Amino acid sequence: MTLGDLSRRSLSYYRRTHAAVVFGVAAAVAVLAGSLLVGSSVRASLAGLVTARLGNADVVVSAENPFTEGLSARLQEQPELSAVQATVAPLFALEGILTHQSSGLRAGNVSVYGVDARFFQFHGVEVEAPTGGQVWLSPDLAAELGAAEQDAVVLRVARPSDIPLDSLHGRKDDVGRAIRLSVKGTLARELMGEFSLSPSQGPVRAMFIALPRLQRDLEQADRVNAMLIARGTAALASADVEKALDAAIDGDDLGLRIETLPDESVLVETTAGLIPESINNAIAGIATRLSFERTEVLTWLANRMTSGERSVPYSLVAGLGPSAASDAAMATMLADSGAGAPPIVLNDWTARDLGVSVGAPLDLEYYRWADEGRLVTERTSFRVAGIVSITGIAADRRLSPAYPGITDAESVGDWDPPFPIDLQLVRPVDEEYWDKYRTTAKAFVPLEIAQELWRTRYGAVSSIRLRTSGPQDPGTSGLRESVARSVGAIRGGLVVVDVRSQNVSASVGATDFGAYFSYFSFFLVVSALLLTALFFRLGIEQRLREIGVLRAAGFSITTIQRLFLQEGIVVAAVGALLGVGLAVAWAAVMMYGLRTWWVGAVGTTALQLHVDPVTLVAGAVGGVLAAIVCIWLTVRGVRTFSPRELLSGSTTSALTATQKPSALRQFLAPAMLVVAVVLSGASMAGAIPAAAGFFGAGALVLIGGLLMLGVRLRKPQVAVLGGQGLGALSAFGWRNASWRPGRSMTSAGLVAVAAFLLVSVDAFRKSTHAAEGAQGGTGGFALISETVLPMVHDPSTSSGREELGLQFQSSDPVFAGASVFGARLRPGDDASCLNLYQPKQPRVLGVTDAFIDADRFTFAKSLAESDADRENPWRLLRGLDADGVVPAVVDATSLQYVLHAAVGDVITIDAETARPLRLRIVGSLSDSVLQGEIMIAESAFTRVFPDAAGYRVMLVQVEAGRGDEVAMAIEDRLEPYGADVQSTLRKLEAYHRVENTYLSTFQTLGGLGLVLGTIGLAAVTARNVLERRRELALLAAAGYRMRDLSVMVVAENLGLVAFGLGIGVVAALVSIAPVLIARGGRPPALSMIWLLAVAAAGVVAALVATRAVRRLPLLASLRSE
Amino acid sequence: MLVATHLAKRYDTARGGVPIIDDVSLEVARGDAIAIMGPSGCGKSTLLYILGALERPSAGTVTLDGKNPFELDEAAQAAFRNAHVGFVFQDHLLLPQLSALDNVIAPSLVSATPEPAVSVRDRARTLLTQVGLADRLDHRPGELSGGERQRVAIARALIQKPSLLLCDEPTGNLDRTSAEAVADLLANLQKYHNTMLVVVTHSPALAARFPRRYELTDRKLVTA
Repeated sequence: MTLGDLSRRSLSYYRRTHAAVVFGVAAAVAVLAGSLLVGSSVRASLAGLVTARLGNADVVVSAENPFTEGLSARLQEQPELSAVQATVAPLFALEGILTHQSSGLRAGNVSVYGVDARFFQFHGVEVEAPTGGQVWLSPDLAAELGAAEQDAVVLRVARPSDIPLDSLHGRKDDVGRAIRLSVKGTLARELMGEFSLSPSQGPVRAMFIALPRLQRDLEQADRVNAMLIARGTAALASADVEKALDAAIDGDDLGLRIETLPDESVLVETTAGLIPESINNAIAGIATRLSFERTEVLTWLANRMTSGERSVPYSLVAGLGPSAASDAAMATMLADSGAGAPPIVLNDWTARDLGVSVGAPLDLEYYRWADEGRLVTERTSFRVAGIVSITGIAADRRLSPAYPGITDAESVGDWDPPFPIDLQLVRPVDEEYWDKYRTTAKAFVPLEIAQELWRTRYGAVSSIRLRTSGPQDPGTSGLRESVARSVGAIRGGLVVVDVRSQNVSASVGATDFGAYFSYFSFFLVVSALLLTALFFRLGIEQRLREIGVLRAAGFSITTIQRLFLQEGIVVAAVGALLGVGLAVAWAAVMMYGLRTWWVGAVGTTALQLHVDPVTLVAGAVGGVLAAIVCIWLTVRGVRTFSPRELLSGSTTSALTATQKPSALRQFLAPAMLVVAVVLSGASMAGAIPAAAGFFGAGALVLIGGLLMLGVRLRKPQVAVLGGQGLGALSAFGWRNASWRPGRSMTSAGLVAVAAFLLVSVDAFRKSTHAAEGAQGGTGGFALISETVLPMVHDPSTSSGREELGLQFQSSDPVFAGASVFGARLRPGDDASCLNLYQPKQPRVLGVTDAFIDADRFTFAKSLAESDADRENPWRLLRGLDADGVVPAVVDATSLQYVLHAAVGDVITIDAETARPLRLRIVGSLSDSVLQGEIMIAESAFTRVFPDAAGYRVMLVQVEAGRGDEVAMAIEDRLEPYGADVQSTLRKLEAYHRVENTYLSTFQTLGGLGLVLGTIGLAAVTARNVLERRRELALLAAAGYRMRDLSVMVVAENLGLVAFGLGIGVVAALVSIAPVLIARGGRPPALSMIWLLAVAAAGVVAALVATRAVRRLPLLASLRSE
Repeated sequence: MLVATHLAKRYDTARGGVPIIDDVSLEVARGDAIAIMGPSGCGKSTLLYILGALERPSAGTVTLDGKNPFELDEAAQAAFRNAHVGFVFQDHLLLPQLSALDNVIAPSLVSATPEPAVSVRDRARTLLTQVGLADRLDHRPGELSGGERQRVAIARALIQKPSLLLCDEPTGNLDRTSAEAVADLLANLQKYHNTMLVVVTHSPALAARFPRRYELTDRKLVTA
């Protein structure tokens, strides 16, 4: 016989007792490992979803401005790609809105892919590529539209434009294309019907249109705006792709126009009309290296040149760099920095027409497209510094870049510019000039003056002249290549994203479901561990005599503790094994719950159970360790039993009689309740913040209530028993709760704390009851609208709305009493709780100055330091950060749970692109409809996202009850822009639904934990009954019936549950009083249901305990043992 | 009058029946006090429990004041015990969470004949005064000595004014002084309340105080 044998035999003999411990450990492990398994399952499901949707695409190259289709072939030939046999597929990827022609049903945010056979070959699927006007639809899109094969659909997409829309020459009246198509069919998911580049668990609205057809309709022949790259035999880093792109890219891809002029100088222009700074810098570098003379030119259209009473309409004015393209005379005149107005040089035709001579004043009137989306007319005064004949540089028609609608017109009368002109001002002499000199500039100004007046965010140079002074001929093709190489793909506007890595890492999720479900299951785990400790303790107490005998036989306490711990470890291990099996079942149930009961929190039914052995083992080990700690703490308690207690087999002797409540406890209990009342009063008086005051008061009520219960249980009873019947027996039964005040307090305390949390968590339940005001969650806006196509006119102004066709006249009754705030949008990943993926490239809104000044919504927190900023924290968006960090405001929920950052933090978005953007969070909005967005000032937006044209988001305030009418008007009138209008309240409710579903999940799992805790209560009661069996037997001898004894047990049990629930609920209601009052006193329904379930479980537990009474061997109990 | 006729008790075990007592007959009149002696395990307590309607005999009958409790159902049997029988055990079996007064009152809570709480309380106080614990009414068992606890147990046994008081080794756990005090008390109270008193003991000293003494030997009850 060894100690090991003793342990083994004890395990075998007490197997029934240990079975309860096994149950406790198994429950703890099942819940803990199961919760972690939920987390890994969600991650695996999300990763599986994005992987399936990406097909073979590993890296994606995209650009705002389309590049040549041939770049894909050139790229594939680069050694970086050919070495690993990577494949490349070009495509057009746009966002559009699709309308089912017969039903009129519309789907917004449709991913439109212009593809050909290469796309399907790339993904290795056998699908017939769409041809002509055919389109494949994704299953979700087809279902949403109810579209079937051969149905006609109309697609509206933005038309990529070389000339930026937000510039004077952008075609603002021609931003989109409507294309009538025929449905070829639904493309199944496994055939890449759900192809998607952005990580989102929601339905995929995708359509696949023939690439040539899309190119034709968009007037982008042989051009695409994206390329998919599949790794071949080895990994391919995005840096490798960028390197290969730099080598493969050419001038055409960057929209460069380079040609040799008759004077053998080389002209560099871009299709955009303005040369971006990156290209300009590259050319400057080349010019310096090769000693080319470089002249920058910025040409603008003047609406009118006026001097005195005479004026000349619609004239091109060229700003020339210092060398004035080697025209020394011109250069000298432009360098004339005489006093007064800046110099302007006129050609002799214009000087004659105006009747001016050198030194005369001259006013220039011109249009400028303001960043805030409107055309402004500005005037600048000049001084005529010279008059030149129309020769040399002054006769150069190519100083003006090609502007469709102007430079290609036969006559001035045929001009069709994207801005208003008054052709009545055009005189015959002007037409004669046009006939003779076409786009020849009539006036010249210094470049720096021109740039000061007409610089845009797209560039400050319209063309560059290069002239060689030595033997080296710039040559067009060589220069084109040199410029392209020097600019490089990234500075040229191409974006390379390792989309697979990015999306898979995004699938780690904004929400760690493993952690969430662990929190949610906190009570379950704690209850299970308490049960484990309780059952193990009961097992030890059952064996006190054995311990006493062992001690009498010379076993040290340490040895005995080790023996019990060994047993505990074996029992815990068995429990863990069982728990691992149960964990899989538990996780399966939770995943089922996420697909059904709690689908509101995840928004997808695609989440499946993935059994990850590592997670399972980690959970099991965690559960076992926690159980062993509990067991160890219990085993340690053996030391506290006296030898007499051990040998008598009882730990009850005289305990209760001597445990008087301490004076401190007697003082603390009422003191806490008094402080709670004071706190509540102070909160109501506004002396302290309501939330803190009431929650503090609630917590004090909870602790004070439990202390009072403890004092009451320990205090000698003054009231004497008496009477007969149920009441008397119940009172007698309740008196028994004081027999083991510690156990009773544990039971009632567990119920109270759980009830407190379950009810008080309702305070976090969101509702839209106070959302409609200007400081509410909607910001006072009834509607929020988003368009597929950018609105280049500012919808905030009446004139902008008229230009957009949104408002027919300034007094349009539809918009009577309405106010509209437009916002710019950089589309991206949804940063709200609706998106399970971590947003890598989140949506960014550029809010206008008017919006900032309007001071809508309520800030949860801000970095405001001045009174003015505290009054309106939106003003912080205007702050400038020296290190280029852009101030941003984010919804508090998104900030905490999705972006995992805090106010004051600097976060980096677009981190995995070549243009990461650092944002400083200067404020967070409290529960707002702007949850999915990051908001920055419009001025910063246009700087950091120069390519994002126009306004796409509108926040609309309307008169009460007119929301639907205005929404319909917006959708109808902005139909060409693909407007989708939503009620802000409904949008806010959708966010609330997610958050409230999480709370419900917490309450449900917490409630289950509470029920499990109540089972522990039953075990405690049953144990109490067993320990008191002799006293109960005495009562039976004195004439108590089994029913009487049962009534006593039930009364004791229910008393503890009732006290626990009462204390917990009252404390919780005090805590959430402000919320309850705001809701009109409506009680938190779900938690109340759970409390009823707990009360029911308490009754069941009590009834179970009474079974122990019925099975008592009363006679045996009465005999001296 | 307590009349036990041809009582027998046997326990069935896997190895067959084990007889405990056999053909035991006994009569105790009102005011009588008897002692039953015998070595440990001879079946004294079993006989006591049968007399007190706690344990059903295998054979024979018991009547108390003409009523056979074993003809009653369980509830009526409990009520019978409550009304007519008082028990005192070797171990006081007081409820530790109750005061001495409440311990005495406890049996009255299930009385079939409701009685005002005040009168029960007064009676309990009187009983505790009679057992010498007038100043310990509010004390819990843990605050009382072994002898005091047993005196509370005696008071509790008398609260329902039983006609039969059954004591199972009432002094078994007490020192000599306390045992004598408890024995005196039992004798006095029996006379005062005019109850039938049956005491089971293996203490010759205690048994010697009773005019009628029996010995349980070889499962039979014989006059000592």
